[in-house]
Amino acid sequence: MNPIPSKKDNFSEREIEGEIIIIPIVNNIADMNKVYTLNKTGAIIWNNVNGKNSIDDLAKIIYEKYDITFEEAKNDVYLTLEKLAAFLS
Amino acid sequence: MISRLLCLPAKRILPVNRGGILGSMLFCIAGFSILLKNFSGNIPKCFNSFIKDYKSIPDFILSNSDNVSGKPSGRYLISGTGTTDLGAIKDSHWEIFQKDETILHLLIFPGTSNKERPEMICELDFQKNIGFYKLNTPNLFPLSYPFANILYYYLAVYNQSLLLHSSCIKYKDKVMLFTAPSGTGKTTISKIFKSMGAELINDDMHFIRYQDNNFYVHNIPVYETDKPKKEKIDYLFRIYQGKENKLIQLNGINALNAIMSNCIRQDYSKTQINLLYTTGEKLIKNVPIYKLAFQKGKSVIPFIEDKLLI
Repeated sequence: MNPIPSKKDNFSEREIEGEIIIIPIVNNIADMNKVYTLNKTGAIIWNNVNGKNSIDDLAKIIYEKYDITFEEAKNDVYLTLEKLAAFLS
Repeated sequence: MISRLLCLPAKRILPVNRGGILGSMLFCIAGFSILLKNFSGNIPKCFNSFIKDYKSIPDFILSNSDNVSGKPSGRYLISGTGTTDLGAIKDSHWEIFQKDETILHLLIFPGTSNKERPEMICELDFQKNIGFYKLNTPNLFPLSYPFANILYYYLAVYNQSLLLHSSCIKYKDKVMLFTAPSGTGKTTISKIFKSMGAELINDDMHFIRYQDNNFYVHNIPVYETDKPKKEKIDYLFRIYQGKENKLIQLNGINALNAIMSNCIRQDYSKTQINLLYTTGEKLIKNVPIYKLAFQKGKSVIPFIEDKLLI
């Protein structure tokens, strides 16, 4: 995983009440089954992926917002970004 | 999978000069007027009640033309395969290319593997709302499956509408839509309600349209006896078959996912995705969305009455 992730241009996203849906851009109807939903924590991580914030920077944002350890925050960032790897470079 | 449309070929030829335009016929489907020009051929019976007199400017004009090229032109956008378990409808495969900014080039092939000779070729311009088609198969009705579904999809995208896999009934003056993937129970639940006196709007697919500050359901031609219907939506259910009846109201992202995962979508364009999701977000603010697990049998009716209608 890129230590400073940035977003590709292969998706569309919608934010509703602090949660996010990511809809992949496809070129075959058969590939269209999956959309990705992010809860509020996942949405904060995703919204701070900008090609400037490192994995540690993203973990720090979560660590400062929630009552968890830095390692737990970093693990959450990794899990979220792994799930969204198709939309990241 | 694209929805199944049971439009059986007609045995007789309907007159094609209604409305005063030679060789032309106007169809009104879900409130969209579609003018079919230069057409002479068999009209599937399911369209009979959707033929209207020509009075105003059509929403879309579709003309027969020999000048439509059978070779793909422009940038490949998306393709799909329409398969069905209904014997009356043959399988098909279609591909869409973007010829220039607003013009789409659509090729429809018979079967799912034959890509050599399209049976229908179209150029569609959704800025000017006109299209040209050429048929390579005799007696093919242009507005049949799968072309109709593709045309309906674009009409939906650009007109604050959705094309939803769903069955719909009107029971005790309340209009209820049941949405789910194929084989989950849409037809089953609508039959249960119908057996208790409900009016069936349709049991396969509907237009959901935002009109006059409300959301309405419109049927589309499927069965021979179909007539155009438009009803204001009271409830929308994402259904499952379960061991017990269970009802949970959905909000926010869960409500939106329940709807959008059962809409016809193509998802090759951010613009189209955003237009459809904007309509979906408006829908979940205007119509209560529920997750409904239902038992086989009639117990779901008193269950719904108790929860929502009393």
